[in-house]
Amino acid sequence: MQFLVLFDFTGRLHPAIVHLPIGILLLACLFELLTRNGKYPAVRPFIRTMVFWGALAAIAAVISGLLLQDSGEYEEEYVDPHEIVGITSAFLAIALYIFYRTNVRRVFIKTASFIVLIMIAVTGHLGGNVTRGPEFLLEPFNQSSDKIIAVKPVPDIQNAQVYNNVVQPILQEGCYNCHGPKKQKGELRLDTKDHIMKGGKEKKAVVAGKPEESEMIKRLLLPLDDEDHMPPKNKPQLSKQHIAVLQWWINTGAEFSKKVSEVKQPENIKPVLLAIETGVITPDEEITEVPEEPVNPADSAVVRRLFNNGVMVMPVARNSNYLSATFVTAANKADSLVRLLGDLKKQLVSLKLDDSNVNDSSLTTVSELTNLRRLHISNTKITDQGVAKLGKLKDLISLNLVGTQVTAKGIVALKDVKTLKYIYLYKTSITAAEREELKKNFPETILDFGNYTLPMLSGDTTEIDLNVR
Amino acid sequence: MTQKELNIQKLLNEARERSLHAHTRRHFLKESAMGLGALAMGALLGSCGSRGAASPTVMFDPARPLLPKPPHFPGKAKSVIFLHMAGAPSQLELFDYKPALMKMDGQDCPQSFLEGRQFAFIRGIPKMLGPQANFAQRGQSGAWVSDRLPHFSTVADEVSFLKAMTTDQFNHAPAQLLVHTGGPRLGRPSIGSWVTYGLGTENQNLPGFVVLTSGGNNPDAGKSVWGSGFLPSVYQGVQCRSDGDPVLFIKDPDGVNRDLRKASIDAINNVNKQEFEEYQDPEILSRISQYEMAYRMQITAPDVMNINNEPEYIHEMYGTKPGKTCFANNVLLARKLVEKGVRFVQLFDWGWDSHGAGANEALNLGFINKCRSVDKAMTALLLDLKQRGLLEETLVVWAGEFGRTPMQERRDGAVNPFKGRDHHTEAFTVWLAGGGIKKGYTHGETDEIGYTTVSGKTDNHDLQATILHQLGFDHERFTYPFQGRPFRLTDVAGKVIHDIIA
Repeated sequence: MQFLVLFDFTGRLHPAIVHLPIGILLLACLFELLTRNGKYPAVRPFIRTMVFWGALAAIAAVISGLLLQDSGEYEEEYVDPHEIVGITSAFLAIALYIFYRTNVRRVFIKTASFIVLIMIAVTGHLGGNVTRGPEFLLEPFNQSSDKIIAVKPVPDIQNAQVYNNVVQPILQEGCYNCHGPKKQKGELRLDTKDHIMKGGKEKKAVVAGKPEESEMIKRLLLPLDDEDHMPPKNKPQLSKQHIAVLQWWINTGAEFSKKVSEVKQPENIKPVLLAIETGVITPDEEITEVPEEPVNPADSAVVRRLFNNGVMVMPVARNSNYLSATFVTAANKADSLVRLLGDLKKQLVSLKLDDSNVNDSSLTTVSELTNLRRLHISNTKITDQGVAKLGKLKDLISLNLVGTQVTAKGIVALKDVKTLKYIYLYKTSITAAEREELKKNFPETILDFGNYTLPMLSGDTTEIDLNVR
Repeated sequence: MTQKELNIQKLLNEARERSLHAHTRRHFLKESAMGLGALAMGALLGSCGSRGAASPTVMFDPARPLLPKPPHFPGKAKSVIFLHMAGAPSQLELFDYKPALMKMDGQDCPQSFLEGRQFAFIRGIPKMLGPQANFAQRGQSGAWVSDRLPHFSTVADEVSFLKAMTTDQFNHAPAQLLVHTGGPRLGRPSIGSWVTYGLGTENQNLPGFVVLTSGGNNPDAGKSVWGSGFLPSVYQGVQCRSDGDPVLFIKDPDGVNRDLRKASIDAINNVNKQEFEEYQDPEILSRISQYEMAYRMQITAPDVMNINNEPEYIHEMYGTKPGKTCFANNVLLARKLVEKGVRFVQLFDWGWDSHGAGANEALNLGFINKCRSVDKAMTALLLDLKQRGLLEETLVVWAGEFGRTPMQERRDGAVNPFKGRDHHTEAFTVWLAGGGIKKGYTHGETDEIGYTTVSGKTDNHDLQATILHQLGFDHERFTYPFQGRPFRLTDVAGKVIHDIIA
């Protein structure tokens, strides 16, 4: 038994040992190739010794590698090529040494050195594939994979099995590569009921009935850039609908044997199930605060001119060409300066013109800022006429019209801007009746009319006398 | 050589020597080695930047240190209002409802809670103290808030609670330093300094980092909690007042008009510019820019910082007290500042240290007055920011420096005369609102008597990491080189609390 442990141990030394032949042979072959034409004569005597030790190290690497392979921890499809090329390299190294001993012609030695050099590089690369996977090396070039996993449509979904036909295929496409029969990263396996319910090394992947406590859902919902986000950044992602299905499945008790029709279906899950049934998974359309497609840098002369006039124009982030602008220190010149924004049409995503002297005609330029997400024009002379122009801003998320003269009629003109999440209408003349009407026109938008008050409580103005007691 | 020539010679020598004194080893090394060395280094480092986004430091222009700068990634929040309740309000009377503690009221504290623990004041075996307030679940979210905060109870759906906050400092000064500077000892920059260093500020006519205090005292840690530490001094908090001149000496003195003031500032700046040319110390440029900002502030600040020009109904909403220094006035001022593009407004309200040693420290007396003095104002702040469309991009943080024990304080072995609690590091509550934080959410849980955390444990570094994250910073990459190594606000800890991010 003791003896076998030693085998295992030697196998585990493979990742360390492999660097010896790589280093020694690489240097020896390089020396050989560099010393042609009589250059660097001083190093020549060492090359033979180096090849000897290199070959010896290569043999050690092969032996340890074979022992490590026995452990069965690695995937055969990657191990086999590495093994073949590795053993070949070792033989070649031995051959090279023999060449040196037998004084064959320099040309043979040089050619053999060159081949060994190549073989070592190939072996090393294939070895890397075993430990890191073949995607590892080229990953930096494939950063922008915004692919969504492909899951087959589920015909007649109501009669299908919740787990077998709906949930399992999503897990299979999205998770099994790392959490399936082949690999169990984080000691998590998601391909059988027992494994799923057991969870990973630290946390429960699925807590039946509690999606917000289920690590699987938590990680799916983390921002893509978070290191804990699943699936990892460069792998195909789950769409919103896929995640919604998993949440619904967990929320309804993580059933493994019921039919879809037997599980409670809240209103919001019905369209999702329909999407899964037809297989028409739309990419997530939710409007982002900053557009995802890249944009050219803005004209720096214009930016500087605005800047020198007190308009703070700045990129939204270090590596972004998208801009935000605020006129807080240029409020009394805003009406003339706004025209300059026409040169930042694509770049501006946020614009603050609060308390400035802009008027309806200034908004003509603003309405051409096609990527604008946030617009503040509170406490200005803007009227319905100006607001009507803003209907062209198809990506607007938040619009601040506090303290302007806009009326309900003017706001309705924006009802086709489907992306609007917030409209602020505090200190406008919109009446209570009009508010209800407006809300019907904007079912998805939060219309904030403000005017919040706090009741006057006796405690607000009195204090407990601390000296009484 | 005549005597006169000798004298001149002597003077020249002295001047030369003086200048050599100023010309320290550092200047020498900088000028000789940096010239070539820096060029080479720059080229080397530049070519190594394979992860382009990972540039660790912020571009810093000493002549215009407060210009707005972009963060690492687009931030949800543009400004922060940090309401610090100095002295540490009791979570057990405000947010952390523990009916089980009520049942234990008056009993001896079990040994298991005392063994191996150290308290700031408790000695011997203290008695348990039940909640000194009535609780109810509020709003849709069902968050527990006590009747000590009747106004705030109505906006519980706007905030995220961190109920399992912890710290490792049980004395006020170090604990406050930990909250604001990321370390319990003096010398590190405060979070407001970090933020203005990283983001600059949108309004060049106002300071980027304003500090307002109330409650009659400065926080125990002193002004270091808004100091700039090793960051350039221009980033330290500017303490303002909500009554009288917002900044001391902002008015021109009698007999000095605007032109004369301009002329004198120009003259001072000229001298400073010469000084800079000689010594190349960027702090001199900062000083010049501060003079210039002060000059501009003389025009803008009195208007922005004057809460008296707010309408009466807003004053009523906040519960301000005209002509006094109080939390409500400061909160209203904070809103006005954020509205005008100020980046970070830090409020300190002193007097929450409810030990029970006197009536003002009693949970059923002085503590009630403290609650009354902040409840309406902080509620009004959230609602007012919301109706002005500012809450989306303004992060409001409410925190003390630690929590309070579930035991009644037993100072130096004798029961305190009033109902009070000792400092407690193992559990307290913090809330955040706006700036991309979830609404109506509670993160973290304490055990059934509120002694220690059970789940969702967080600490000051996590809170700081989260604040920076909302502003667009990866706290691990947001560094400043000092004494040979890059420093972070979060030191070597901190994890963004994603659970409370919308």
